[in-house]
Amino acid sequence: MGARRGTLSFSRFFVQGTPPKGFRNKYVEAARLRAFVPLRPEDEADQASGWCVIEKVFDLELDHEKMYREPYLLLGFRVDRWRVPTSLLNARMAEEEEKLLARTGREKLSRKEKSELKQRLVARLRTKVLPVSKSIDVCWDLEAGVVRFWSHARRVKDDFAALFEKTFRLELVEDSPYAVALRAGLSDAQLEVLGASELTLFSRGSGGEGSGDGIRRLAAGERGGA
Amino acid sequence: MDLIERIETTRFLGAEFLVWLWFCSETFDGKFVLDAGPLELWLDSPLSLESQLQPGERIALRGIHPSATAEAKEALRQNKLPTRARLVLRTESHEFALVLDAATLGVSGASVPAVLSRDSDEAFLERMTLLDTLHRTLDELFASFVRLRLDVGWEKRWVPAMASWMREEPIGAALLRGLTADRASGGESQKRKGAGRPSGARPA
Repeated sequence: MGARRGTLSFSRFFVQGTPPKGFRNKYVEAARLRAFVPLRPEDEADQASGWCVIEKVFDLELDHEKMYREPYLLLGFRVDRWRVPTSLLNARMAEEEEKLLARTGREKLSRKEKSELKQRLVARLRTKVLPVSKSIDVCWDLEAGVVRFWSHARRVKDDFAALFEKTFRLELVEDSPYAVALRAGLSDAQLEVLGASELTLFSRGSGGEGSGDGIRRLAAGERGGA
Repeated sequence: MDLIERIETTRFLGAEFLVWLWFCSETFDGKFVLDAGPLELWLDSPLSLESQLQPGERIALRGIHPSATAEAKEALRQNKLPTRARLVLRTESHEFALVLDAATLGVSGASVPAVLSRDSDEAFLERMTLLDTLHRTLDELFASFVRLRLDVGWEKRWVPAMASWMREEPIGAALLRGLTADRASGGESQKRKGAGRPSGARPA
């Protein structure tokens, strides 16, 4: 799903600053440096992310041709995650615990022993399952300084923004009412007022039977407590 | 106050924006005039509202035109504002529909006019152009809302008028004329004060 076809559900980010001179080749190199590196069962991390070719989750050979459709820079943000089934892990854990107790003649294991056992089991089970892979489309309009990212998941968006900033050395600001206001041609004074503005209450009292003059404003700090 | 803090403390503007669109769509027959031309806008299903005072209190409405139901207006009277709403935007050449999240202005389940190009690269560029048009339209509407909200007319005219509308009471003729004038100027007094990328929505 994403930029070329499928569902149109995406987040928007505004790029702060402009790409440097001769950025096209530099960006290919930068993306290659942070291309996705597959997870290994022995690694501690249960998740890895990096760039891939847009719409081709297993194509990690990034080049100019695959990345640019002027005026857009296109990438896939690949995320792999180990998903060892909990039921399988629990069953194996019980089995291994029993064996260990029988071997040592003890009645129970310490918390540390359980944790180490679990780690060993997870590493072993990872060799029997494949990580779950997905790629999320990234479409950067280089002229407008706008990035569309086909996900709304908070954690995924944060990981994406961090990788983008590391790769291209440009900060991202996610879409929000204030971020749009920043681009609306308002003066600094207006932005100052807007930034300090408070929620408009259209009806007096939580019961809602507002009267004609039933308008008051609530400081942002009061929200949730009224 | 840094940028992140301002972003976080002003997310409620998205909910106010949605309720303003809703009010305009019912009071002015959904008609707006943007830089790119006239626009018709209305709210559709689903529509979710949440209390801005007590965030746990929410209501989700589905079905045909949920914004026209008594439950929706009752929720507004209880200071619940829209947190997610499906919007339909019809310009002279295109019709778009999308679910807009008030806090993030994130777009979900958007439908854009059919892409005509057969070539995959051209089809992609056409699709992106349509998304740019959609975002430009939303940004222009939001800019109009913000300019009106910064103007003295917001408290004097818009808030009382919207409160009357929420109570399903008629809006006085003088007040309505004031709103129409505000829309015609597109927050003009604010635009003059600002750096001014003029893009205000005006009444048709």
